[in-house]
Amino acid sequence: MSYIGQRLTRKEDNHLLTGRGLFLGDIRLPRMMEAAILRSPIAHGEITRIDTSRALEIPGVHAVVTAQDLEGDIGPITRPFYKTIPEHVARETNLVVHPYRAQLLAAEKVFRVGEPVAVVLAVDRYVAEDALEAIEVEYEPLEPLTDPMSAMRDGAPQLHPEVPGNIHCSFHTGSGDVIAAFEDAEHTMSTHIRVGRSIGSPIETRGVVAEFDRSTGSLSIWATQQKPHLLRSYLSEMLGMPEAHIRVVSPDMGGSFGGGIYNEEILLPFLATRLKRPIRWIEDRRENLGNARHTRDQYHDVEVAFNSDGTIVGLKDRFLIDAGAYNPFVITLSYNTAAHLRSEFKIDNFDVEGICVLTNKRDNTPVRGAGRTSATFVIDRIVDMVASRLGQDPADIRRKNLIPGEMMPYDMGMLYRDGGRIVYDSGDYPAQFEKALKLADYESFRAKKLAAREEGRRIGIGISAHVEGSGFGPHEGATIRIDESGHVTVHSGSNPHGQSHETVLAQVCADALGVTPDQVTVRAGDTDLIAHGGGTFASRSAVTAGSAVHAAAGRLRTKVLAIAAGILEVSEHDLVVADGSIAVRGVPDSSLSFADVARAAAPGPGSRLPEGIGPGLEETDYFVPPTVTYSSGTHLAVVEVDAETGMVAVLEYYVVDDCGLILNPTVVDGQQHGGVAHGVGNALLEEVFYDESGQLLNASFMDYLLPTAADVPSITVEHETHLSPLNPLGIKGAGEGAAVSPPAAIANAIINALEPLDIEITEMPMSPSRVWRAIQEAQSVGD
Amino acid sequence: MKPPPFEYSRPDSLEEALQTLHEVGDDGKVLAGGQSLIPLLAFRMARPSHLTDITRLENLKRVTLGDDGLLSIGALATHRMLETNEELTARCPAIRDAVSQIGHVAIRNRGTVGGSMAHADPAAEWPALALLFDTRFQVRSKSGERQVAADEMFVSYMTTALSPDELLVEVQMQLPSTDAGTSFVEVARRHGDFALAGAGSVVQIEDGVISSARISVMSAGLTPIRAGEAEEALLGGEPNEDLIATAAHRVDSVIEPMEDVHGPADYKRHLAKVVTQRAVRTAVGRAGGGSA
Amino acid sequence: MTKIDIRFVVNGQEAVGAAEPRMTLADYLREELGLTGTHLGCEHGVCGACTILLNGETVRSCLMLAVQADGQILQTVEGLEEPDGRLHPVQEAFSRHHALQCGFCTPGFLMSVVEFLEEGATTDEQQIRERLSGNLCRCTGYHNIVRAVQELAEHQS
Repeated sequence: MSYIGQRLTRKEDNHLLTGRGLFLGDIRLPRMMEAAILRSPIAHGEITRIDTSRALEIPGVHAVVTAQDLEGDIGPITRPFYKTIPEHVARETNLVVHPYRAQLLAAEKVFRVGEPVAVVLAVDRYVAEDALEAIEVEYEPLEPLTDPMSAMRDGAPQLHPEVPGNIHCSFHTGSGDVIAAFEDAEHTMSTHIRVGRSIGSPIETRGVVAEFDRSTGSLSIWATQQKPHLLRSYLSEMLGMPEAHIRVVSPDMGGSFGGGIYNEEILLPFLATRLKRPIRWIEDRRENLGNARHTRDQYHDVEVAFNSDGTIVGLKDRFLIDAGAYNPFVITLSYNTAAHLRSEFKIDNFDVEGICVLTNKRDNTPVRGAGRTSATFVIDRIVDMVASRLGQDPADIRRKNLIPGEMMPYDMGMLYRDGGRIVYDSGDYPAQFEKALKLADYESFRAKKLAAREEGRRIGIGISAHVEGSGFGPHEGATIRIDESGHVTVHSGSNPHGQSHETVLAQVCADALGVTPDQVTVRAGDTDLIAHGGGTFASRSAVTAGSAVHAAAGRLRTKVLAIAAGILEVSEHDLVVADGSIAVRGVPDSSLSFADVARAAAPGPGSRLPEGIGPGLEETDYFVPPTVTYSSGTHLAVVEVDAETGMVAVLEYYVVDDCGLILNPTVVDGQQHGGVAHGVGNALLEEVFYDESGQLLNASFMDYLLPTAADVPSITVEHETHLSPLNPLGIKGAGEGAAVSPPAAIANAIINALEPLDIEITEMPMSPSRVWRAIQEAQSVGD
Repeated sequence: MKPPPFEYSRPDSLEEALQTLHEVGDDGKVLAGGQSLIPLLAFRMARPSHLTDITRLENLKRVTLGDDGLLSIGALATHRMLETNEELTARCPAIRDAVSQIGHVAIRNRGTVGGSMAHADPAAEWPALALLFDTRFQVRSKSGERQVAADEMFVSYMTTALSPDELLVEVQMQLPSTDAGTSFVEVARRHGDFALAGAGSVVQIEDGVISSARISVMSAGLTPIRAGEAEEALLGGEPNEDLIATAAHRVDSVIEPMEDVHGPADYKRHLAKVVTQRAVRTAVGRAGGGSA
Repeated sequence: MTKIDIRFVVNGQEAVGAAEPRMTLADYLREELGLTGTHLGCEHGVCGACTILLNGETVRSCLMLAVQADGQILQTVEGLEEPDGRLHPVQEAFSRHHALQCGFCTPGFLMSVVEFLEEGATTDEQQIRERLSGNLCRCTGYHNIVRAVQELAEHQS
């Protein structure tokens, strides 16, 4: 009986359904102070005066902290959030990176609206916010840089001394020979594509609770953090404390779609050590919209070379990223865009340049999709534009250019940022494609469209495909232990925020160890549980944690069998393990429970261990992926466009996905549903706006629009599974892929719906006013 | 996002409430359903010194619909009460059309008609409905009572003719005759969001021509707007698409939509005409006792 | 600010306390009464995570002052399950259909669905989606939530 592949109901549901979750805001410690942060109201300027005296007079205010109070005790963050790019990658991509430095609290200057300037600690958040209003700060405004072009111009103010010309990093790479390709091609076409800025916006906002125990000198932190071990590493370095004295816990988390290490997660624990009382900070939504890290915000100058038969022979893209005031992820977002730009297509002549430009806005970082959404939007718009230029069906153009199944694995001629070559290791894109078209009944759509038009309705269908390098390293671990009650615990560094790890990893463990998932408890998100941890991001947990669990459980099973064989006086080969019981083959009465074996393995004079086997039943494994493994998917969207208003409704949505071995189909389908909804939001509703002075215009959930149940249709999901050759079980990531394709599929569907009008869409999101304007422009061309 | 401090009273009678308002003065605000006020407090965009919570005044919650079509709405009647009133909906579908788009059920369970009127957000449905029908506002204060007509009520952006010591106690709407067609159409980014544009229409048809017409427009200026010229364009004409389009076009001259993150001004201007057209078209379809 | 006495029934039990008038009902439930199942996602009435039942009707507890709940009857997510721990049919349906992932928005959804069913929910997908559009979810894409509600509505009729 294999548990992998079963639609097991989740173990984590009961406490979440009954209101017994322990989310960050639910944590209350004795004598806890509540924090609020004073944030810069201007985008760029010098601080000329801070006066906190009035705030300190308010009853219930315990402390007000500014940069001056930190001086000498804790410095800025200087370590960017990435492992060093391997030397050979840096060379081949002509990588230029300038140093990173981010102040914890603004000392002399502020570089964005929302930059932390002071922290108030008070009896509760109500009083803390009263105190914020009593802090007097004077600024001398400086010219705000609000787009990358003006930030790069001659004479633009340089934001940071270490970053000349405000260009923080850049790379230039590719494959093949684009020059020749463009010379030889029958056609070329160029366009400019703009991808707007958005945010992850989980329903829970960020938060930190920090407590310093004076008797043990140890610091405990709870945080809405995807990477607890990484945070511990930063805290150890910046607070000058041994890692062993710091514990970071991610409690129940209300979703997380991106992040990194935040100033608040370092500053508040530091203050807890100084002020010697626990501190809690819960971000509010207005703060979250401006201060949780943003994403996308890209400008692409794209050129494509193609022949009359529809073959795309060359692709060039030079793109800018509006990186914001600090760029802690360096090239993660930009390189992901470059690495995924060719999607499932065989385009061997490729040249891409990605430049991250600093501006006076929030940092621009990877958020669900992580650069692939932009890449996919660009390539799928290009493919449809080529189809339009040639008067061919976009499906046929795709067929001509998809990498054929028999050519897999396919080397894309480029390096990935983790050091490996970009090799699409498994998959059959044409098969996936045809399956998706069949699922969506693409062939009958023309007739449906005509029938709808007779009713005065404009419906359209659009296609997008994507690849996703998933299961990013450098490692993830699992420690598995069997206790003397026979219960199995799995400890991992990969902490869930909705991805069902407690259930899925139990399924993997159950199969590899020979127990039932009920006999397994999975714990994660606590640096005390396991020595090294990666965290949950970049669609990596099923691959990395899953593989580590599988390996550790396998080794533990071997040990269990060896001990059981000794006790039962048979050979290991004569033993059968199932559901937590080890029995002699054919002799069911001759059996041991896992509890029996655990007791036998316990240290002490009574232990019954074979020669060469040590006491205890515990195994740890760290899975180090050789490189990312490539999931992929093909999506089709059916939309209806109200040509009078530009409003777009998504009527139907189809997904054919390849995420390798499916550990729990219900969980995977749920990730597809959620990803598609996220993508629909990104396609039609979600956009961050800054005005010319660098003010964020999205102050509330009435201005930043998340998709609701009425905005997303039911989603039909099927799988076209090809196992990954890069890990023992053949798993590929499933967390993000579905969010990548919707904007492209929807854009293409909108254009299809409005035919014969020749609509141009080169910008996302496709908000109603943009769609309306595109219709106006297309109509005026016809006049 | 916690409210700033304020003094608070919760009167048990109308007299007590009026006395409190009289004493509190300009810096105070009335708290009813709180669905508009409390978010403003959370953003600290409103900082009243004193909140007078009138939610205990149960006799301000009554709704009556007379045979003559006079709809009397107590100021504390919730949106949900009006939305779910089947008799009212049959008599005048425009009201459910409009009210069902106010936020979501949880908002409509608490939000009040009086609160919406007094808040006077130009993107709110009730002020636009007030202009669509013959509406009178019953206002009380310690010194007495008065009536305010709809066209005097909405003075400017989020500003009514009410003084700080006055309380709106009842809204009386004279619904049109039963053979009139009524409708309310909105365009919003998502279901329940504030509209990018909205319009209400009342149309009566006699002998094949439009004998009376009312059009009010929402989210297109500092206040809800009566589109008088558009109404005139309809009068005496045959209710066909050309006439409706002409009338919708006339709306242009009275609106001044504002640009925001959801769209530029010219797009909203266009939408105002679209919703006017759709509202009139629907009202025409419902006129003459038929339902569309 | 002086505190005002508040007394109401929540999940069938009387709760007595006091709060400053500016304290929201959501904060009072969470901080004073320890009923942390009701969550704060936006504090301005849009996300619906704070939805509870007041006298049987859904309200956004972040858009009420705690003092306004005095004398009323409240139900939060903690009051849905049976005293012996058996799940409410809505909770069960959510689990069966994998209608939750991170669980943060879930309590608000549960209370909204309870009200919807009380009123006689439809099985029509479009109407269900419109009714649920007042509760935001960032994880599930709503697909399974709609399936759960359809099953519950069917079961009712």
